[in-house]
Amino acid sequence: MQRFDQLYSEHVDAVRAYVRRRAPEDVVDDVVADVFLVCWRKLDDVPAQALPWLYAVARRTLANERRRSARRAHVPEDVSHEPEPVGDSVLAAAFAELSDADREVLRLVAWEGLSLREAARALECSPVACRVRYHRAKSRFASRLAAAASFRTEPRGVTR
Amino acid sequence: MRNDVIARLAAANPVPGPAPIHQPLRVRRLAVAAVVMAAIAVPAVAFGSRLAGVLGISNEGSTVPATSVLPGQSQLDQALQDMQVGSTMQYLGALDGVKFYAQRNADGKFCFAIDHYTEQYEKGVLCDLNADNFPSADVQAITFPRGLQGIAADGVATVELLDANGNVLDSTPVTNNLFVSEKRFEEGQAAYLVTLNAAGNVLSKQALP
Repeated sequence: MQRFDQLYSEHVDAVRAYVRRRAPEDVVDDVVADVFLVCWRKLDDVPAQALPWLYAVARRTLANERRRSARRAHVPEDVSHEPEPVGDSVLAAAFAELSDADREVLRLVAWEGLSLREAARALECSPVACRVRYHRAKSRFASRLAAAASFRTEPRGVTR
Repeated sequence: MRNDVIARLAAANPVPGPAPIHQPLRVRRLAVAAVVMAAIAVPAVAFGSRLAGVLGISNEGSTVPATSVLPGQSQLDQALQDMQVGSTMQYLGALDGVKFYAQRNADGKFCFAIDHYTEQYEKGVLCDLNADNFPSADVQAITFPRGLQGIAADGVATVELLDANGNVLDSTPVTNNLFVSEKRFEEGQAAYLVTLNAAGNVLSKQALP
């Protein structure tokens, strides 16, 4: 109980921020609650570096939530909505063109501030696989950004 | 050069990292399971000896099996078991379409469940994990996040939600230790839960998580 209390107080803000970066506000409380229920249930499995483990639980919980919502026809599909990067529309557009896997590894590094080793734990893959995935994702992202920067719309007049 | 891409993405973070918290009051820790479509099964361990009186409020309710609290809600069933709530809860009554149940768990923490019985989704379980467990001098009420729906200590006549600037966002009366309001707020919008007695005097002001 004491360890759970400590884990909760130390990491609830980070877990909540993680979820808010990936889901609409109306599901955030439920997902965060579910993450810590899993943490409670599997307390003996939580490693010393708990945060990447909690992110992995949150990732699976979000995936379950999206599947559940997809089965409920009356629930708006925006439960799968992902908040976009803000203040940079070109970057947001390029980011949106990436695959889910590419976006996730980039988010873990850029938004959660994880090292590649920590990101590997959150993604539940090997550090080598994570490193490869990260560098490929970053290259694709940079390419799309460069393409967006070189693109210029032709001026158009208004005709009637 | 490529790291500029990551720096640029980091600068566009829609939810910047948790800022330093400067709160005049201690934020309470709660374990909440507000789940849609969930359920109750019979927990493995029974706590039938835990009587209603241990709730610490006048409304002792009537003892009901936990299986009857949120039937058909599998995740809430798991939540009740994980929170070690036991095999029975006290049914405290219904107010404005919400049924309230409460019990102390195996650690003596105050837990309660709500069931918006006319609706499909607003059902949940919440436990107060703090040392100064509800009800206590500092903790005169306990509510689910993002709105007023919870349980108040004896002597509390009204509960209010305040924003960070002290503006009243919502206010609702307490009936038989229970309170419900239909208003819901965005996360972080409500900063404090305030309790008042019948004379309008503030009894407690709790920072919300």
